Amino acid sequence: MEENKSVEFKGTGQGLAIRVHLYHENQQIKDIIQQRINENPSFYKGATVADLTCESLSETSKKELEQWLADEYGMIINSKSNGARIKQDEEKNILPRQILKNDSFEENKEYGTKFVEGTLRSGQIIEHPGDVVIIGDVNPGAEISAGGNIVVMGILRGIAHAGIHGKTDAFVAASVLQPTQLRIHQTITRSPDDVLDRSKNPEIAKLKDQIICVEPF
Amino acid sequence: MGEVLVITSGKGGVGKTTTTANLGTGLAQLGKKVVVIDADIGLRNLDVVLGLENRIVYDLVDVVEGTCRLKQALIKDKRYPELFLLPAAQTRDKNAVSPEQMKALNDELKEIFDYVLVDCPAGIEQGFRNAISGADKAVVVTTPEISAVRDADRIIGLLEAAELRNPKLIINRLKIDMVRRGDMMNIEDMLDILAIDLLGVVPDDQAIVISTNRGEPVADGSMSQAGQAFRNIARRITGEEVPFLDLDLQDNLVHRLKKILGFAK
Repeated sequence: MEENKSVEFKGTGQGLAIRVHLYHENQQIKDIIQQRINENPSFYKGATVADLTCESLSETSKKELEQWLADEYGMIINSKSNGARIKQDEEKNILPRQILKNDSFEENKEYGTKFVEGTLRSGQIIEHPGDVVIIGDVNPGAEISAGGNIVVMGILRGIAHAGIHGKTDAFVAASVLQPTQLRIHQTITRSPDDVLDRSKNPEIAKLKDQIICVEPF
Repeated sequence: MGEVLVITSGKGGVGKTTTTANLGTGLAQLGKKVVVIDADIGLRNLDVVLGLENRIVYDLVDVVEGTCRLKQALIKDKRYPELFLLPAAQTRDKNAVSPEQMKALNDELKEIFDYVLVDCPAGIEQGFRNAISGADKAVVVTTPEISAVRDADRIIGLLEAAELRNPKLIINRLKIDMVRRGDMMNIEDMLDILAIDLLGVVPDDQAIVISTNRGEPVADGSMSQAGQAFRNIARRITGEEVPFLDLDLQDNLVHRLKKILGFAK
């Protein structure tokens, strides 16, 4: 029952909508979908997939999943998410600074803020074109990449990449900031090798003259 | 033209990653140009053991998929400029790479480095098949436990089926006092079952736990027995004849001292 709830199939006017809710590995999601399709294979064969949403998966894994649906069941992928992705890719090609000057505010409005509750564990990625707020810890090996700012209401020990599409004034803030790596736009910094007496207070990292600066707030 | 060595075991937790990190360090100490590859995609550890986790930007999957150039993904070690790490991806799984791609990668690395050490994941599935493709030689790591030896035997069979003949054996985590008491399998027992050449014996050592947690391989200048054992194995890999550590000796010395002081019979 649990598994059936984690992947939702819905018929819409445009076709089939598949929603994946659980934080699963790609293979597990495939298995669950396969199980559902096998219950009624003729119904799903060649169906049009209008929308495929899976929050836990990265863009590449999602692409892989769509490809798999197309290859395995002859489904026609015609999703909104496809459209969104193309838009995103186009945006990447625009000079980063231009976005910043013209509509950085609107961009955030459009994508909104993504809230994630719970601990982000090693191997999990959160990708979002807007701002990201994590209510929980981010463990080493986990990654957050956001078009906007990143706020972690917990300990940030993994990798955080803010402003991936060129927002140079993006920031990373955390209750405790101990990341493996910090990336803002195209600048990367790593934690020092020797364990210094690290601050246990909330800190914020911003880009200043191409250097990532960390200060308390 | 370098040599590709895969370090494998079948069973998990016997010390493949520790062995890879230490042999890489040991070979670099001997002035060899070495690259260690973490083939455990999705459960990478080698970067942590070497203390290089915070330097990872690109990984093996990025190289294979053409996201970056090979040289961009290679991470230079903190201590030895001739030692490099090619990290695994953490957010992908074993199916992200094919054996053919691994072979092409190994062939490319062989041109640049004297030794390419591949840290194989546990198990005999896709990850294992990826790790052994393109390898010239294999090193099998086992511990003196019946389950580890059983898995090592299975692995040796699979390696031979994959045309990797004459793998070499490393016995890890041997507890000398337990062997002496007859509570642990001894070296001869294991060699009887596995019937392959012994490359070295590494005694159980607390220094390994400390060094792993610090991200500094024990072979790096440490006076510990395990460090010395790994350095000897590295020299044997280069073809040098090195006598096996007489693991009894040091204990006898202690015993003799105790005898002098009247603590022991």
